[in-house]
Amino acid sequence: MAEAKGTLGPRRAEALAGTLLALPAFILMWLMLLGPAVAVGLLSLTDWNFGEPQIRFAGLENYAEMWGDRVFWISLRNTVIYVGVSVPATVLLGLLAAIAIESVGPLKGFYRAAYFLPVASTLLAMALVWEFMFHPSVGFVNQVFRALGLPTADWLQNPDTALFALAAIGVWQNLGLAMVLFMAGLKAIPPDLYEALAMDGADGAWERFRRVTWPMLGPALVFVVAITAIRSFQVFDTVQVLTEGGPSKSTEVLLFTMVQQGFTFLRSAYGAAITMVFLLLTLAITLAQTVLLDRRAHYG
Amino acid sequence: MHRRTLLASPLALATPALAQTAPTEISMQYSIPELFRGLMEDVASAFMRANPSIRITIRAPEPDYEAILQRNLRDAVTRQLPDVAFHGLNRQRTLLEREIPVDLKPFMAADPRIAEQGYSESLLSLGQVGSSQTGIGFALSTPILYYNVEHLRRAGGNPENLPSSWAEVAALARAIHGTAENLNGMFYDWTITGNWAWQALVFSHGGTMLTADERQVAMGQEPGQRAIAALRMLVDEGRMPDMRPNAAIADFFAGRLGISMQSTAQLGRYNREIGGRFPLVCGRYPLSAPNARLPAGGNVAMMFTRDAAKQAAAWEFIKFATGPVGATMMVNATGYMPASTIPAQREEMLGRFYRENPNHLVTFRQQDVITGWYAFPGQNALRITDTINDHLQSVVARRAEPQAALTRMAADVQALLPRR
Amino acid sequence: MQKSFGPTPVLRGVTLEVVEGEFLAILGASGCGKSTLLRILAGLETADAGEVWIGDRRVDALPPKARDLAMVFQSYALYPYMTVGQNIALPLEMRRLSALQRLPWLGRLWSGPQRRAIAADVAAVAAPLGLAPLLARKPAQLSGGQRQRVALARAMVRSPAAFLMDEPLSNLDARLRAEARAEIVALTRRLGVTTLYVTHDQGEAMAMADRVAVMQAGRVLQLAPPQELYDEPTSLDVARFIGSPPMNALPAHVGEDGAVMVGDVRLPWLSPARGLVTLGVRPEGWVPASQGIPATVTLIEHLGAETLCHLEGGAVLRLAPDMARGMVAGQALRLAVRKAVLFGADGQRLPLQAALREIALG
Repeated sequence: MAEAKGTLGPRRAEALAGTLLALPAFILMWLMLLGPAVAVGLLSLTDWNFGEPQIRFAGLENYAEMWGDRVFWISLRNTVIYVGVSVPATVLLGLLAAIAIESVGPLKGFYRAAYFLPVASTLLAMALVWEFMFHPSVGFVNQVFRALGLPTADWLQNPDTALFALAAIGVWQNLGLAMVLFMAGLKAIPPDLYEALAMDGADGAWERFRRVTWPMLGPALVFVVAITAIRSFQVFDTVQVLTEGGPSKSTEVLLFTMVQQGFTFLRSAYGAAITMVFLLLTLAITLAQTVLLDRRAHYG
Repeated sequence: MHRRTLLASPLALATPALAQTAPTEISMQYSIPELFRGLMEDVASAFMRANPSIRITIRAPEPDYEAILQRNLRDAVTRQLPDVAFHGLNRQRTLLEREIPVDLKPFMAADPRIAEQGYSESLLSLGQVGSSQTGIGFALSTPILYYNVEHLRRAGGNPENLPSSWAEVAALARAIHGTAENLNGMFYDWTITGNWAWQALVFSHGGTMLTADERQVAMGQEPGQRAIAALRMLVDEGRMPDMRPNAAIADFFAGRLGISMQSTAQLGRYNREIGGRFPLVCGRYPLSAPNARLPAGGNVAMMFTRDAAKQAAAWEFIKFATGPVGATMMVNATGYMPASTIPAQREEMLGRFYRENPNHLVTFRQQDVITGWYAFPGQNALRITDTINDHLQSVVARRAEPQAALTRMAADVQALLPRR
Repeated sequence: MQKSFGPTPVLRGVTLEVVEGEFLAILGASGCGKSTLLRILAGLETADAGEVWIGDRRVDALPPKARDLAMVFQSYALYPYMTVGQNIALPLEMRRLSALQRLPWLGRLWSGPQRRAIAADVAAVAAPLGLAPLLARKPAQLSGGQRQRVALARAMVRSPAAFLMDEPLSNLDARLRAEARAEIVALTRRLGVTTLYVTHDQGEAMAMADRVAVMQAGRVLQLAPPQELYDEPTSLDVARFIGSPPMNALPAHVGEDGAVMVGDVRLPWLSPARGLVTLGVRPEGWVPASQGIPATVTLIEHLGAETLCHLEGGAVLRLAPDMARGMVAGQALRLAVRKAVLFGADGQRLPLQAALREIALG
C-alpha cells in the first residue's frame, strides 16, 4: 500500500508531462484541422452568402436543398464514376509498372523518375498539354486512334467521353505515386520468401506473384487504393482548366461543385454543406483503410 | 438602407474647394489587366496631375470580373474595401444586395458642374439598380459581328451591305462554310459570362429575362422562343460548330472562321491578333423586333468608401475617369465606348478617331438600343446563369430541341428565383 | 565447384561428398562461403564452374523444385499471410495438385480428395512437433521456437532427398537453441534423411554432426568427424577454429637434432622438420609441473566443472577444480606438455615422433 502511494506521485507527474508534450500537437491539430472543419460545419447550418453583412441560422435547409438539387446528384454520381474508373486503373497500371521497373536493370532510376514526373508537376501546365492531346483534329490521341482505325471523338467536348478523358488524365497523374508506393512494397518483401517458394516447388512468374508478391503487397495495396481514392475524390484542377464541369454537367464533380457554389455562385453556406458531404466521404475512405490495414497488419 | 441616408448628409463637403486642404489618399482597384493596366495607370497619373491634393494608389488588379467581385466581397467582410473600384455591369446588383456601393445620385445632384460630364441618360442607366446610381459607366461594350472580308467576298457577300437579320447571317455563314475545307461559317459565342449573349438574343427579339416585377420568368415567351430558334438556326442552317469559344476565336484569327459574334471590347485584340492578314469589318448585331434592345457589357466605376473626405476625392476621380478626358484615353486604348457623349462630338478628342476607325463606330451607333446587363435577383443569381448556359449548350450541341430546352430552362430558372 | 560474385571469389574449388543419411555440418565464420555453397546445392544460385550430383543425378542445370531438396532458412521464410497449416501444406499442394486444381477459390471444387490427403499428411507431420494445436494460427502469433518448428515441418512434409539447413537456430535464445539442437538431431536420425547443416557455431556443429566440414575463405579446410577435428586438426586454422577456449599456439622451433623447443625448454618430442614452428596445445593438454615451460598466471576463472587459468601471453590452461586450488593471479608456474600437435610456418600439420611421449609425461 505504501508503495502504491509512493508511485502515484510520479505517475501523475508523468501523465502531466505527457499532456504537456502532446499539447502543441493538440493545439495545432485543432487550429489547422479540426477547427476549420467545425467552422465549415457550423457555416453549413446558416444561410450566409459570400460578402453578406447578416447571417441567420438555417438549420438543415442547405442539406434539404442539396437533397433536391439535381446538380449535386449529378456531381456525386460523376465523382463516383470517376473514382470507380480511375482507381482500379491506377492501381493495376501502377502495379504493373512497379513490377516491370523492378525487373529492368540499369535504367531503373530513369523509369522511376519518368513515371513519377506527373505526380510532381503542376497539373495546370500539364492540363494545357492534355488539352492539346485531346484536340479533336490535330490532337495526338485522335491521330493514334485514326491510325489504328478506331473511332475518334472530341473527347473533352463530348458529354459521353469527357469524364473518361479526365479520368485518363487522373490515372496518368497518379500512376507514378501508385508505382512508387508499390515499389517500396516490393522492396519490403524478403527475398527468402521467393526462395522458400522455389524450394517448395513454385518458381513460375504467376505462382511467385500469387503466392508471395500479391499477398505481401496487401498493406501497400490498401494504402495505394486509399491514397488514389482520396486523390481521385479531390479531382478539381483538370475539371476547372479543361471542361469547367461541362459539357452539360457531364464532368461536374464534387469539389468543382463546391468551389462553384461557394465562390463563383457566392453560396458560401451551401458550399459548406457540400464540403461536409465531401469530408464525410473522405473520412469514410480513411476509416475503411484503417480498418483494413488493422486487419491485415498481422504479418510478421 | 440606413447607412446610405446617413452618408448623404456630409455632401456639402464634396466640392473642389476641399482640394486646397490636406492631401487625400484613395485606393482604386480594377480587373482584366491585359486590357486595362496601361490605361488605368495613365488615367490615375493624369488625374493626379490635374488634382495634386489627391493621391491615387492602385491595388493589384484582379484577372476578371468574377475575381474582383470575390476579392471585394472578401474585403467587405474584412473591412479592407478599396475606395473606388471598377466592376462588371451585371455585378452591381450583387454588390448592392450586400450594401457595399455608395449611391452616387446625391453626389451628382450636389455637383454644379455635372453637365460638363456629358453623361447621356441611356448610358447613365447602365449604372442604375432600382432607384440608386450604383456606378457610372467607364468602358461600355455591345455585341457586334466580326466578318472576315476575304471569306465574305468569296461567299458572295458585300462588306458595304452586311446582313441585318439572323436568317441572312446564317445563309452567309453557310455559303462561307461551303467555299473551303476546314473552314467554318460562323461562331456565335453563347458562353460569354453572365448570359450576355443569350440576353442579347432575347432582348434583340424584344423580350426580357423576367417580368417587370421580377417574380416570373419571361424568357420563355414568344420573343424568347424566336431567340432560341434563331440560335438553333445558326447551328442547323449556318453550320455553326459546337466548339469551345477560345478555339473558335483562334480559328477566326487564323482565317478558318468567317463570322464571329463577340463583344466590341475584343476589337483591339482582334485587330492586334489578325495583324492585317485579312481585312476585318464589323457589323451591327441584327435587331429582330421593333422594340429590340441590346445589353451593354463592360464596367462601371463604383464608390465604396464611407469616409466623407475620401468620398469627395473619390467622386472627383470617378468624374475624371468617366468624363471627356478619361473617355478619350479609354477609347484610344480599347474597343469600348464611354458613357460620356462629348469626346465623339469634338474633333480634337475622338471625332477623327471614329472617322478613321469605322469598326469602332459600330458600337457607338448601337447606343440607341442599349440597355442594362441584366442580373438575376436573389441568392441564386449566379446559379441561374449557369443553368441557362447548360440548356444553351444542349441546344447548340443538338442534344435537345430548342423549344423543349427553352421550356425546361424557364422552369429551372423559375425554381431558382427567390420565393416572395 | 567455384563461385564468384563479381570480382570477389566466394568459393574457390570446393569438393564435398556427402554420405547418404549422414548429418553433415558446414562450419565457418561468416563470409567463408558456407551459405553460398548451400544455396548452390539448393539451386537458388548457380556455380560458375563445377557439378552438383544428388545420388546418380547431375542436378546443377535443374531448377530448385526438380532437385527434391528441402531447405530451412535462417529467417524461416514462413509465408506470413498463411496459417501454419497452409504453410506446411504448400509444398505438397505444389507437387500433388495440377495447375487447374491450384486455381484460387475455384481450384477447390475439383481437388477435394487430394486436399484431404494433404491435410492428413500435414497433421501427421505437425503432431510430433507439437504443432497440431497451432495449425490455424498465423506465423506472427507464434513464438520463435514454434516458428522454427513450422519451418522444419514444412521441410519434412514431403520427405525430400536431403535437408538443407541454413543456420536455423541462430534466431533463438540460448536455452531454446540447446533444446532445438537435440530435437533436430533426433528428427533427422529418425527420418534417416541426409542433412546439410550450415552454422558458424562450432559447438552446434560438433554436437550435432556426424561429420563437420570446416570452411574458410571459400575452401574446405578439413572434413572429419568432430572428435578427429578436435584431436587431429590438419591445419593451424582448423585448430584455432575448433574448441573453446581455442587451442593454444606456442611459437617453437625444432633444433638441429630434431628436438622441439619452446624458448630454451626442450620438449620430449622429435620432428623431422627444422626451424621455426608452432606448437598447438589444447588447454587440457598441459599440466603444472616442477619443470617445463615457465608461465605466469594472470587470471583464474572458476567455471564449476573446470577452472581456466589465463597465462601471460594469452595462453589458457584448463584444470580440474581441485588441481587449481590455491592458485592465485601473479603466480609463476612451470608447465609440462602432455599432448600437442605441431604446425609448420605455412600452418600445415607436421608429424611428431610419438616415441618420446612417455618421457614427456614423466
